[in-house]
Parts: sequence; structure tokens; C-alpha cells
Amino acid sequence: MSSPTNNSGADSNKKAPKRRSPTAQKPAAASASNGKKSSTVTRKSAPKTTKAAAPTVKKSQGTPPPAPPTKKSTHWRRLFVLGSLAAVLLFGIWLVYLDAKVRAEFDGKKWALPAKVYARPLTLYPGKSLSAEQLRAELQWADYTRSSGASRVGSYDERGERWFIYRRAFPFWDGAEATRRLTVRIHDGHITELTDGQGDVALVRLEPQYIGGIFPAHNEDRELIKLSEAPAQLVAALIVTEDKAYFDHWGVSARGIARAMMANMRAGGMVQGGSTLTQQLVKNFFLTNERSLQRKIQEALMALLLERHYSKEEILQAYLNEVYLGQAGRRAIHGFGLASRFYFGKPLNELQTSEIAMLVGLVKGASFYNPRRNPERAKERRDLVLGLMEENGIISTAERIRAQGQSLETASPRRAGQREYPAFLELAKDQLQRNYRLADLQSEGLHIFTTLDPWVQHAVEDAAANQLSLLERRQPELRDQLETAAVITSVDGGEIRALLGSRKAEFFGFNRAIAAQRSIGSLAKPAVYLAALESGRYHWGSLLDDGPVTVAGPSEQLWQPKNYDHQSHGEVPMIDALARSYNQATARLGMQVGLQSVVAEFAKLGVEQPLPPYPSLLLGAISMSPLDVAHMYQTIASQGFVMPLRTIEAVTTASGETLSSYAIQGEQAYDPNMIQWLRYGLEQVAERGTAKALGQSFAVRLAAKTGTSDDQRDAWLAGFDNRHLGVIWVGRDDNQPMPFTGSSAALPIWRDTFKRVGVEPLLPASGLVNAAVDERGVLLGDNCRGSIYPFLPDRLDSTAKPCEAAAQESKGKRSWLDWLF
Amino acid sequence: MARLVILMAMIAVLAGCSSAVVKPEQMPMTVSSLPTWDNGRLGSLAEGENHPAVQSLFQKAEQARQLGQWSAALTYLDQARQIQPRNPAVLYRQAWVCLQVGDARRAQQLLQRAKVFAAGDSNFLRRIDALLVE
Repeated sequence: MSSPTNNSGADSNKKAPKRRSPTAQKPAAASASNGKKSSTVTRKSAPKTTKAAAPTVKKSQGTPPPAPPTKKSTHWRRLFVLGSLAAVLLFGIWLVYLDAKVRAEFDGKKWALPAKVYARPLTLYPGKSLSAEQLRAELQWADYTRSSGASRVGSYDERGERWFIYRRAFPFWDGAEATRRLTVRIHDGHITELTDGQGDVALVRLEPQYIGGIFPAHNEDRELIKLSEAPAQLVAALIVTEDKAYFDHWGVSARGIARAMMANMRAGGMVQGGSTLTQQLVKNFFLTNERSLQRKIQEALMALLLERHYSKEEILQAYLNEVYLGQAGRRAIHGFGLASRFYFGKPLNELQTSEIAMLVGLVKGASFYNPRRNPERAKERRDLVLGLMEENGIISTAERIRAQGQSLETASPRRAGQREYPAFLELAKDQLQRNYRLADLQSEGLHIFTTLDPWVQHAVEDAAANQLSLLERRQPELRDQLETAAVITSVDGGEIRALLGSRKAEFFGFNRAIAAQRSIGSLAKPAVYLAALESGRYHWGSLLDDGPVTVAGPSEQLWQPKNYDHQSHGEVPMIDALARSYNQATARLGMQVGLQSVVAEFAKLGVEQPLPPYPSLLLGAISMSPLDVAHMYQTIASQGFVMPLRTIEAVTTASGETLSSYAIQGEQAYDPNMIQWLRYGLEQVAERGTAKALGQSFAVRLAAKTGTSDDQRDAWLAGFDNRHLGVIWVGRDDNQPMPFTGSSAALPIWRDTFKRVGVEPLLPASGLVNAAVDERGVLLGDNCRGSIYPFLPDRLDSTAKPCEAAAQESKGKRSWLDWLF
Repeated sequence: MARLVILMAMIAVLAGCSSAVVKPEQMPMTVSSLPTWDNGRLGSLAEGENHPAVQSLFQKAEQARQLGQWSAALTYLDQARQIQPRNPAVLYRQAWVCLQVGDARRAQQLLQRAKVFAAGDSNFLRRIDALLVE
């Protein structure tokens, strides 16, 4: 009874809603204030009684007058009034606080948009080598559906050698591009024709594949949409299903609550929630998942406040982007924009009626109605939504029947367009953080364009998985013991095309490619041979002694490296020592060239870690990550250009404005001919040396080096063709020995990867000159017979031995002539 | 007399054989001999004329250059470089743009790299050196 007076009195502190719809408000407000009142009254009454008690005590010090009954009743009434005032005041303060909170969260709601990371776009141009297999895979990964005639955006058709592609619009980092209808002809593994509606096309790109996001701690992912971008059917279906009176209420619907309570009572349990869309939004937005009466009241109040400040349209738009609609591994799928892509592989505006209904049905419970895990329930719910849509005139009966007849087809959540690439993503994130703050990466909705080539990535993932299974079949006791890592780059620019951190490529975990420090073994040898070549005292025909060798180590201990086959091979040409990876010859060579020179060579090749000048360095007793190894071999593969291995191509804002773009950088540390001279050695490794399985598989010029570390704890292969460098590692996380070598464990992964990706032969070295060398390894002059090796032109000097062999030969001829005469 | 003739013939034959000194194949660098659509081979002499994709990117880069949009120009040029990685004309232009934005060190690095691929073309090398001097 005192409430009305209290309310009007306290109006100056509070907001209009109380005035606007007293009928709707009162029950909630009254119950709230009553609740508060009782608590405040209990809190406040204690001091009041003491205060009230004090004067009476004082008064009682004199002659105690009889306590008048009227005073007591007014005293209680005063208490009641003061208590209610205090309660309402507190409630008012609480409302102000909630109001501020609502506005702070919602104003210019900057959604924490995770950065979207993309792979390299597939470029198409006449002459490009591209297999039908790759084009098909890339289209499917970009969620293109095959449809006759390719008449819809996002579809393609394949007829023999001709491909028809209706490419979607996409905001590339150098400008947005509109949709395009393309015709491609692939013949013999190359694009021979490329046209669009207007004629020949010189260069066109498919939109790049999404490969992951940089999420804030709660891993929410969303694809923002504006209300105007949402299909009308979707919005209408949402309203009729979840909150029919959405446009009529003020945030809380008494009718809705009443209806729900009736339904729940009838059903004997919680079957319906009376929450409006606004209340649901509040629940999702601000508050944790506590389900108490107080929480419900708080939600209701905040919903009212929200509606007070923002329009129905704004709230609806926020709702469309906030509602939780599923889970994809670590990503929480929020909002219809992303849900459309996640479940159907299409943007929202490409959805059909039945698909829209399914998404709307998910609002009630994304896991409960998950179409992949509970298809029958999902279908029932979808059909129910379709029924509601028909009831409310959103679709016709015919449409409803057709939609209900469609099967609940969803795109696979494991398909390439939806999975992430954790190892690469981690490195990309590391490289981005040099120029961007993590907080910005997590919340600004940046578009990150990377160098990842999904075709190469899938090739190495499949090759590694298959090879490890094969090895485990041969050695069953090694099941689940073997691990792997791989780095594949473009030889000329250092762009990382694939990164494998583990055999379980799709899962986040220890990234061996960048973090595993492993002994590199024989992969160190090319640095030794390069130092030898650079010294001027050696060439590929020089004889080396592969006999037993003893070297004094740093603390006087003796080191006696043995060859893999425990044999000594006597005197061998230097080329053989590298091709067959002889430890003894290499150790001796390294000591003769000088440890300091070898250490300097590693540094010149780009190895940044400091290497102690111990003899064991010569056989690779140093630990490096596969990425570091790739960086070193990149210099060799690029003809002497030391460059950073990069993952980022460009960064734009969510609206397409370019923030950074990256171009090649590096240092030409070597005369390219010197590197080509070293490369000859690596070509022999692949042709007739420890990696000859590669030469046999491909029959084109390749360069490679196998690596097996001490006790066979690490198996490596580093190899390159004219386009790509690949470094593969196989080993055990517990660093125990394995019964495998670089050739048996790592080489097959390289081979299978490049079989799928395609090899391009190395171009012949144009700066080298062949010359003959005698059996002692001494250079011979022109026109001599002997073993032929390539040389740097300025190493062929006049100190070359004149050939006795030639003299022998001409002597023979003279005698024959003599016979004539 | 007959013996003399035979002797001369044999000497001639021997001379022919001995002059066949083994030299590694040099890549003939004439435009006509360049395979038209070969990815990775030197199309550089014609500076992209053989390769429409590179040509169209050069055009875009040129437009950006005229507008002073250096980072856009670099983007187009790097795309061209990824299509024809060993085309020194691309690296030359990238170096030129780097000079415009004041990155002389990077320009020099790119020119050194361009020299590696322009090895057979003395005209081009001269242009590179001229730019290096700047």
C-alpha cells in the first residue's frame, strides 16, 4: 500500500519505463522492490531499533513514563516508510548501475571479432601448371558446389577438360573483386585457356581458403552480418519461433511468461521459456550461466533497459550475431552468419528455406538439436519451425511441404574449409605479433592473408600419416611412438607453403616444426663441403681419406666417428664422400678445412644460433628446429640468398583497407655460382647417393641430403626442386633411438609429398665448366681424359697438369700412322 | 700421294674430334627460343611481354606507381614475382619503389638479387648498376 507513494517519490532517481507501462512493470518492479525491501528492512531495522531504543533508555533514566501505544504504531509506520524508501533508493542505484552496464556493453558494440586468417588464393593464368585434381580439390575446399552449368554464385561445373566456375566476390588485400564467371581449359596439366564473359583473362584468383582465426580467450567465432543482410525469411522465422510479440513488447513479455508458465504446468516441467529475444540477448551478452530467480530478475530489468535505449532493429541485429549456434573444436560458433558457413558451407544469402528453418531451430539448444549428432531431433525441430513459418504466412503450404521433404544435409564439419591449420597458424600469429598487438589481432576482425598453400599442406599431411602408419606396421612396438614435422617453402622467395607440427595435423599442441630442437646429424655436412669448396683447396674430384679418424675434443676426450656401415672406404673423391655421407672422410675434411671456417659457413648460410667449434659439429651434433634447418637450406636452394621464411602476405582491416603488405627481402650472401657448385654435390646425393630413391622415383634433376643423427634418434631429409624446398623430420618425442634412417623414414614422406605436388627439374647450372681430373684428383688441362667434374671457371687455372694420358694417346696414334708409312 | 691424302683426312678428322671440348650447355637467351608459357624460365628479357599474367600485374603496378601508391605497387610486383620468381625486371621495379619510400638498403638487396638473374643481359645489368649507384 505504501508502494505507489514510494514509486512516485523515487521517480526522480529512476528511468521512464516505470511510468511507460505500469501494468507490465508493476509485478516485476513490485516483486523486486518487495524482495529488496525485505532484505533492506532486515538490514536497516537493526540500527533503527537501537536508535529508537536509545532515547527510551535515556528517558528511562528518569521516572519511566508508560509507553504510549500510539507512539509505537507510528514508530512502526515510520520504520516501514523509511525502510521502503531505503529499499527503493537502493533499487534505484542498482538500476542505474545496470543501465550503465547495458549501455557500456552495447554502445557502438565493438564485437570482439577474431582475426580471420586465409591461405594464399589460387591464381589462374594461361600456362600455369595445374592438375584437374588440384583444381577440383581447391574448389571444394572453398565450398564451391558442383552444379550443372554453374549458374549460381559459388558453384562450378566440370565437363572433360573444360571447367566453368562462378567465382564469388571477395575483398582481396589489393582491392575487392566482384563475382565472375570463368571458363578454364586444362590440358596436359596446364591451363591452356582462360576466359570470362568478356574475353581472355590474363590473371584471376579464386577466393582464398579460410584456415583459422586468432581468437580471444573465450574462443568465440562469428561472421558479422547486418540486419539488412539477413534473409527476410530468417528474421521472420526467428520471431515467430522464439518471440512472436517481439515488436510489441518492451523487452519483457508478461504474456510470454504467462504462456510459458501455463505450458510448463501442463507439461509438468520446463518445456517453454518465456524469454523474449531481448532477454535471451542479455543472457548471452553479459551474464554467466547462473539460473537463479535473482538472475532472472536481473535479466528482465536489463532487457527493459536495453529496449529503452536501443531500437528493435538494433537489438535484433545484435541478437543475430550473438546467439550461440554450435561448437567446432575449440571455436564457439556465434551468430547466423558463421553458422550458415559452418553447417552448410554457404554464406547466409545462399541458404534455402529448409536450411534457414534448421538454423532457427538450433536457437533453442545448439547441442540438443545438433543435426550431425541428433539428426532425428534436428529434423523434427526443423519441420516444427517450417510449420510455424507456414502458420504465420511466411511460406506457402507448397513451400513448406517441399522444404520438409528435403533431407537434413549438412556440410561435413571436418571438411577442409572448416578445419584449422594449427601449426601454420601458430607461426603466423608469432610473426604477426612483431607488428600487431595480440589484443588487436583478437578483436579487430582483421583479415590476414598468408602464404599457406593448402594443396601442398594436404599433400605433406597425407604423406606423413601414411608413411608413419607404414613404419608402425613394420615395427608394431613403435605404435604411437613416432612423430614428425615438416616445412615446405618456395625456393626463390622464402614463403612458407606448408607447416606440419605433428602427425595429428588438425589439433593444437606441441608444434615440432618450430619448437622441437633436434640433432641434425648429416644435414650439417653440406656446410663442411661448402667451406671446403670456398677455401680454394678442394674440388669435387679431390681425394679424401675415408680411413679411421681420431680427433681430440674440447676437453681432451677423443672422438672417433664411424661410418654408417662401419667400413672404411680408403681414398675417395670428395663427391662420393658427400653423396654417400661418409662420416670419417667428412670429419677429417672438416678438421683440415678448419672448424672456424665451418662455423663461419653456418653463419653465412643464415644459421643464427651460436655454434661452438667442436669437432662433433662436423657431423651435426647440434640441435635445430626443422624451421631453422629449412632456413639454412633455403640459402642453398635459392642460389645463395639468405632470406627470412615468412608466412604473412598482407593484412587488411575488416572493411578491406590494407594495413600492411610484405614483399621479398634478403641478402645475396654468396656468389650464385658457388652455391650451384655445392648443389652439384647434393644432386649426386639424390642421383646415386643416400637419397637415390628420389632420383629413381622422379628421374629429373633434384638436390637432397639425408640426415641421421647419432644412434638414429632423428631421421631427416632436406631436398629441393626448381620450385619448393622440403625439410622432413621423423623421430620420437622421448628421443629414443629408432630402427630408421633419414632415407627410410623421412625420404618417403618427401617423395610422396612431391609426387602429389609435382616436381620441376632443377635448371642446369649455367656458370660451371666441366674439366677432367686424374685418378689422384689432380686437375688436368684441356683435352685431357679423366673423370669429369664441374668447376667454377676461375678455379681452372694454368697450373692444371698437362695430360700424360693425352700424350699416351697421341703416341699410340703415331705408331699406327707409322704403320701406314 | 694417296697416303698423304689419307693422312690429311685423318688429321682433319682428329682435329674435328679434339675440338669438341666438353662444355656444359649454355642457355641460349634469345626471346624466340624461350618457351612461351614456361613458369620459372627467364621471360625477363621481354620484361613480361611473354607472360600476360605478369604483364597485367606490371600494368597495375605502373598505375599505382603513377599515383604514388608505393605499397600497392609493391604488392602487385610481389604477386608478379611469385608467378615468375627469377624475372629480374620484377626485382628491378621492386627496388625502384623501395628507393622511392627511402628504403635504400632493401633496394640494394633486391638489385643484387636481380643481377643474379640478369646474368646474360648486359643492357639490363647496366640499368641495374645505374640504379645501384643512386
